[in-house]
Amino acid sequence: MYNIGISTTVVADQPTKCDISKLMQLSYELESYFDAVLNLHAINESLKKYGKTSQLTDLVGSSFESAGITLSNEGIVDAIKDFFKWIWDKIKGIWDWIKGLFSSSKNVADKAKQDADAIKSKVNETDQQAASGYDDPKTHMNLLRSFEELQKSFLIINIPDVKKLDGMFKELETRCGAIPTEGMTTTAPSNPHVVEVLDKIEVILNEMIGKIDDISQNHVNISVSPRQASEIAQRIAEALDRYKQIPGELANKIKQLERAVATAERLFSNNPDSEKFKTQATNLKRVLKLIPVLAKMYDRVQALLVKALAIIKKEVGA
Amino acid sequence: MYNLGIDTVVDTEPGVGWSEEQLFELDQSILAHFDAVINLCTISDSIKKYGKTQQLKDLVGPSIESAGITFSMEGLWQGIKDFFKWIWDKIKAMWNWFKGLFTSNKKKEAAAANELAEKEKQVAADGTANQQVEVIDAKALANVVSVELPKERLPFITLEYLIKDSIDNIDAIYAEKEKQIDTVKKVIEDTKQLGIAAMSKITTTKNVALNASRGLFGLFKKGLHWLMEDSDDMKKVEQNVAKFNGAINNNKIAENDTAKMAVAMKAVKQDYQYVILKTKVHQANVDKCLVGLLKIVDEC
Repeated sequence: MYNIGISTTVVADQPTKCDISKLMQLSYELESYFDAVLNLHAINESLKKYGKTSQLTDLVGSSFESAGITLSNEGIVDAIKDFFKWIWDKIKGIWDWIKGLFSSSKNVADKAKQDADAIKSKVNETDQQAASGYDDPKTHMNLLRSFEELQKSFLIINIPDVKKLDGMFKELETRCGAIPTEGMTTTAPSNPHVVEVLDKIEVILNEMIGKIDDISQNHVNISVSPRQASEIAQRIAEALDRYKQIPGELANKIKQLERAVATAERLFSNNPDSEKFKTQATNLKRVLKLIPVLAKMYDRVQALLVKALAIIKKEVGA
Repeated sequence: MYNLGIDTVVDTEPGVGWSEEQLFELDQSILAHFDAVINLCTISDSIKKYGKTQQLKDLVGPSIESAGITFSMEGLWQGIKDFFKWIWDKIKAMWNWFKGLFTSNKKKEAAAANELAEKEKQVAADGTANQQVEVIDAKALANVVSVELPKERLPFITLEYLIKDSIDNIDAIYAEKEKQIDTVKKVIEDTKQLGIAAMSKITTTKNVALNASRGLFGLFKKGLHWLMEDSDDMKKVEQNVAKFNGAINNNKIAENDTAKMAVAMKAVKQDYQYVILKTKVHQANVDKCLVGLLKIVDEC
């Protein structure tokens, strides 16, 4: 057979920035390694049950040869052990990526706070200038003038509709909450329904990412006073400040997954024929596949908020 | 066997713009589906040769069934046809990605030319052309982006081969193509580190720095030219895949051609892989040139 996942993994041009395509690359490679481990495990079972038949040799022999693996029980066990070393390397890569995301999220949140503060200062300054122009705001003429000034000062801002994000998060919560997950825990992904449940979650997450892209691309016109614009900017900065915690949560999940990988490796070392190992590896592969999707959603929300804040800053002239 | 690459691929929402993320998603899906077609062809051939043995059923049966494919010669052939149609659709999407990339690069080119011209005017007006500045080492960066890929282009494997069986030295061609693919991968790895190192700074005059920046702009344009060639090559891959798709559906390639089909698919996959890899190199180079020249302009 041509490719059973044990061929040399394609090395793509890995960007130096902490960007999603790098995480996708790492995750893809990790997934391929789990495929390879599972395929090798299945071939080992076949070898034990039916022997090294011509059909098996024809089917997988060239793949084994090109990957430098001996088509024997011992050869396969050694190869699986080697694959685990690469799996650990890639998990370390993902861990480093998350650490990078953690610091870049902190920078984004800090920058957002600075921008929101700059917007606030600019609005305060403008308000003070306007107020100093009226000797007695209670007189009829001055009230009329201030009303006209206020009307003139309203801004029409063409911006992504950030309010829609709230609705989207509620929908996400409701839909994911409706998926039955009895008996599933992150630390021990040995439940047979893990794959099924995570498939459903991934579909929902991808739909949400599509919605975020729609919000990001299809701007709406909002009419606000500079003060209201400043309040929106403050809320965006606060949201980004809350979001900076998410990479930390993701990092905790990676730590839990590391323990699950260690369990899979131990199950295999204790008994290469273990069925429990097969389930654990299958489920782990599925869980790991979700990480870039989650990170992608986080990235998209962050980018959308940063974009909205930049538009407000420009319109206010801060 | 657990995974033959034929498990249902979740179609993700397309990314925004002509991003690396979008390229990655499309590319991985296409490669996985090529593997799936090749594997199905090989399994089909194995059945023809050895029959549907219990060993084969145990090994690949669950994977085939979970992908909704009937485990029979007819079922496998239908699976191959479906997967191939899917590849063709995605290659068309890849072609669109190239078109978008071209537009996006043209915009970048215009913006960079404008910035460079503005800066040159400003420096001339200020009379600061000979003033010392610290800028990135354009020469080192130029050396990195000038690394060339294998020049000789190997022939694309055509439908005619499959029908007439006219290419005798197919194994040698595979091996040569595999070597080229490895060379490109190595170039990617090498230039990645060199590119970072090339961003180190040197002290020079504004005039010299802006001149170097113009040099980088020239390399950027050369990179665009290479990208045009890549898109021409991708068009050839698309046309080739379209021909195969037509031949499968019009029964020019028959169910009993799966062994030859596997051989041809490996070659088509190689052609596709090579084009994408060199596109990655060229796009990374034009990006490096742009980042470099804009940094210089900024520092002058």
